[in-house]
Amino acid sequence: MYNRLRVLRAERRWSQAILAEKLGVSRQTVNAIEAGRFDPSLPLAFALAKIFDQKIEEIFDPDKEVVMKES
Amino acid sequence: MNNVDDDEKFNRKWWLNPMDSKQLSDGDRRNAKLINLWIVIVALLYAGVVKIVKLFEGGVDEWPIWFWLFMFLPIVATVFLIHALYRFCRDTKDELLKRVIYESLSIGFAVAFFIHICSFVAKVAVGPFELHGILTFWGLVLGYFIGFVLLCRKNCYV
Repeated sequence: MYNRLRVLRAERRWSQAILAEKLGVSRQTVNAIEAGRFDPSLPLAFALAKIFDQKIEEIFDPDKEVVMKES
Repeated sequence: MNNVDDDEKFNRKWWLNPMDSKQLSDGDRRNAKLINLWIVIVALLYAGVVKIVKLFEGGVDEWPIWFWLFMFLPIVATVFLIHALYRFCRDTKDELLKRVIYESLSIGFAVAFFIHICSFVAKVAVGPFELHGILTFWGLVLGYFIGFVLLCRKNCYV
């Protein structure tokens, strides 16, 4: 699923590791979500929304095409 | 300043330990490692029992008492394995790691099912096939571990 995670993270100058620590998951999970390879659960999506102070639909867009950036 | 796009892969030898321990919390790492540990123990105990049972060709009547106790060890280990799986499902926070374990188990069962069907066909076509059960069991174990390593590699847990 397309998401703005990478942009939101970059705006705050957070590394994937920092965001992962805030969420209580591994850096790989953050990386997989950003790349569109993995859709987070509802609790994790809510946690992301809370951390970035945005609505879930402002972060994730199921209708938009995913631009894959493989790590 | 933190690197915002730190998507780098690590240079560690992934086959030594497919999970990068630094990237997981202590609890998640322990839960995943416990599953792998109990799968290995169960596999070895079952293999041991199958090997030893062939020593007593006379059947159940000739089994000594100690062997009956030995027979129950794989069952006890399986209970611990199920407990480890339950704890993993309940406590693990890292969702990607959960998916890796679930997919690895799926691969293991798919391989076991495939081997089961193939050996069943071989049994019907060729005749009695003693290795039927053993091959199916080891297909499950090896399928799980190969799937686990490949998925860890794919998801950069290396």
